[in-house]
Amino acid sequence: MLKISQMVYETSIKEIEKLDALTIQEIERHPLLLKTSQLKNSHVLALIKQQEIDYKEKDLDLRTTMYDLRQERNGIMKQNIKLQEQKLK
Amino acid sequence: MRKFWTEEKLEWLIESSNLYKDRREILIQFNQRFCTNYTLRQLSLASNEHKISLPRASIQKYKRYNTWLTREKTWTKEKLAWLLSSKDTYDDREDILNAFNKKFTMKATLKDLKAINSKYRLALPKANRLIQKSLEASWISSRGFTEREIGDEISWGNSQVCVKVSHSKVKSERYMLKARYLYQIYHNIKLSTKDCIIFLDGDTNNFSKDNLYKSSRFVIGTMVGHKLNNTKSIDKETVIKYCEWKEKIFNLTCNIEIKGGINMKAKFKEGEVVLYQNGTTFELGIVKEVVERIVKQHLRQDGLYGKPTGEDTIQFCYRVWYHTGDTSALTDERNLHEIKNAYAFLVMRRKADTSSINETPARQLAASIIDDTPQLTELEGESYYECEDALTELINEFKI
Repeated sequence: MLKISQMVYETSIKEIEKLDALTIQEIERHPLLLKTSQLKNSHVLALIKQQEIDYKEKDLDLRTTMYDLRQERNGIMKQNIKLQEQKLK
Repeated sequence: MRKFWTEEKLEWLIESSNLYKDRREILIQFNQRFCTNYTLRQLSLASNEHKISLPRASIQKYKRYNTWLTREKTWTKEKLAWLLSSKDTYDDREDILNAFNKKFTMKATLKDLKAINSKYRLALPKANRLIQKSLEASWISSRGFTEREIGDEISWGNSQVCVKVSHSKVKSERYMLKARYLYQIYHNIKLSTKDCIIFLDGDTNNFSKDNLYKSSRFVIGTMVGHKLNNTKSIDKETVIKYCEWKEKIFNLTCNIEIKGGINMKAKFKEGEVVLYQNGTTFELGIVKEVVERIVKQHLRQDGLYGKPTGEDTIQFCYRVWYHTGDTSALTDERNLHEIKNAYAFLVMRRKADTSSINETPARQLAASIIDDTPQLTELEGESYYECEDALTELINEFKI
């Protein structure tokens, strides 16, 4: 998780520096430089989105496990209450 | 029972109906003669009941007797004209009222002015001093002070904290967002209206120097547009850097587009066969001319008083030759579609009005064949075209 975040940060900074160094005349002469940056940008966005999806999936798994455990605990408590009632009778 | 309308009275009325031309005069004479104080209504009822045709009561003469209609008007044209012109000299309605009363020796009140203002649509300025006084009184009773001191904080909305920076009359100049104000102090710079301050940790109450980050509106727009403003797995600084990269690309692309760079290309060329879409219907056409138009896009205004600004972009419009006649109207690029497999079809054009053929050699040949063949010369209308089409297709080795 950290790796991707760091990679996005570093790539962004590098690309900004690279684009800052280019003049409009240079880009006009070599339009593919800008196109490459655009493609990279889209790719990075896809990575960020994927990262978010993964995070949300994990979060959902954890939540589901937590709810399962809670349900189990509730079941055990109910059984315990029934046993105590029987004992009291 | 005493009769109101005796025979004598009625006879007099019949006689007087020929003598006088106004019912009011008849009434006056009647009242004088019989020492009564009958009204016009009573007279009218009697004339209806006993079928006596009396002349009408004229309004002009009525005015002579009605003091209400002949009264002197309070709000004359002169007074109204003075009130209208007073707007330029006085800012407060109270001042206008005082000057008005002095000039015309009247005792008009603010209530009178209010009524006249709305009746004649004078658009007089408000009595601001009086309003301010009453507001101040209510402020003192409710909050204990009339005006906030410079540096006082107020909260706007759910999470925005503002600081008072001046006593200016313009509200937008009086208050500033605390984050902006503190950022300016921390870094000793003046932020423009295009700059925005982002809280890096997302806590809008954390105004520490490290937590405030200056960025542009574009960055925030990109963040929100791509739903990156609430990312859990990636920190905000990274997302901001990514958006700044995107902004950089966008700015460069715009610069190149304006200067006529790589992306300055029209979608269609002259002579290209295109498909025009109008709702659910389609039409074939040939591009005659490509027209460039400079359009100001993304028009926006900085604050309430800023001038509207926007980037220039070039839009392409097309003069398309559709099935009939000439076209002077321009067609938008978004309504035209490219025919990807146009190579697979033989596009033939027929001039609708004249039944003459297109300039293609195949069609010319087909036409000459029809003319030269004695069995086909008698063909006319649709059957002629069908034959011509079939021959052209054969010549082009085209099979349906």
